[in-house]
Amino acid sequence: MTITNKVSLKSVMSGNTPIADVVDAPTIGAATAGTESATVAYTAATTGGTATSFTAISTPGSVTGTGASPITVSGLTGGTAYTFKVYGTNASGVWSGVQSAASNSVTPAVATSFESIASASGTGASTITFSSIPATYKSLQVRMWLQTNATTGTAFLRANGISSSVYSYHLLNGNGATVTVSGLATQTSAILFNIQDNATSSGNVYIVDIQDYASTTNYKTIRSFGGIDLNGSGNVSIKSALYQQTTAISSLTFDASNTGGGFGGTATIALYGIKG
Amino acid sequence: MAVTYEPISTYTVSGSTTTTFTFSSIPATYTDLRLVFNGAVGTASLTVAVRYNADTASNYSLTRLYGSGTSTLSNRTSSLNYIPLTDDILIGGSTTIPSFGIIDIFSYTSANYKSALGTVSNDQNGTGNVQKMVSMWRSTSTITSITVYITSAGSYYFASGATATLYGIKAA
Repeated sequence: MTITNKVSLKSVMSGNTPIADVVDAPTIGAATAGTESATVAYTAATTGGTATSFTAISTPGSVTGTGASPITVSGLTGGTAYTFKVYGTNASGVWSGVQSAASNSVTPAVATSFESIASASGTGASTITFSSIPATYKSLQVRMWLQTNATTGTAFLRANGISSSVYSYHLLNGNGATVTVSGLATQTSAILFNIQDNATSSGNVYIVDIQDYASTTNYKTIRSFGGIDLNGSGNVSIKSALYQQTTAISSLTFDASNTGGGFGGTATIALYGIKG
Repeated sequence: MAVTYEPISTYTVSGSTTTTFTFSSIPATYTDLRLVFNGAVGTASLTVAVRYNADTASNYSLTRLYGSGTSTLSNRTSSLNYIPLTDDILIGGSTTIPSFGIIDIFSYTSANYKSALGTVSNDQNGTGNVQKMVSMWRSTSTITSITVYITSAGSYYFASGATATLYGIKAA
């Protein structure tokens, strides 16, 4: 039997089972890139048979996704440009052979294990706290550009709001002329950060990494690398700290109450999660 | 959570005549940038450096910690016309031993001067050094291009296979 059009199909019986009308091509909507995925919007045709499902198919790769608009197509290659067409299928699993027009081209992002959790700016606050940190990462990274709201000072880091003597740290510092080392046990904060005053266009920058922060059996090692250069002065330092608690770190507080006016409005602190 | 560590572009040296390459049209959509270089130079004791926005004036400076394997020091260089990406690369002149340099550039679109943190890892099986440095570019312009080049004058070239990748890091 040769099916020549949907009208003839409608009248065909397969045994005692009627075959539903074929579905006309839907109207393509916007495609939007995700991370190694994309969503594809469409509008079902008002003519032809009733579709029970819609499928989006990619070019290149013929990767498909099925569902209501917008359809999610997963398993795409990050960094590759894709377009999509959509077609409907009726209750008999038959489609008309007519696909929608091609969508706009999108390029899905490459998946990484480095994700942004939260960020904050200064605005004169004495403290900045990231709370409810998810325990789903292997480690955390904090990236900071620091400036005070008034005069130069220091800030310090605490975990889970604990200000008792459960911290210790070692420091290697260079001021452009000499190298100094120090180590302090039984401290009430993990790491000290210098903060530049707001009279210049410069800020201290730091990268802080916290390994196995969600461990419930081990103490947490924290390291930082940072400093400031002011074209004639400044310092650079490497610090290693220990948070002597076995509870998972669920909040981090950066306290600039030692400075004049707290964190300046241009200060930014961003928290990232790194999957293991 | 949003994915935020994205490769913007990678440059891989081919042939033996490359002295400089540039990442241009850097999108302003990230919070920070990270440039990762791993490669060699076909002669001894050179510095591979970066410049922002093709600025060749003496608007750069740095402070660093330096370990040579036998001693440590901290020094400072003001009013440079570049920022080192790797330093004293290829002591001995081998083209098969790469030097590894990373620069993290913070708030590269801000109206403030631009601070960056650099790490140099350069072991040559008996010689070499490790460095940590903080640098500044005294400009309030958004960084839209980064040029990687060999600072020494003369016929010095990147070894084939040297690579540099620029990443964008975006805060929530």
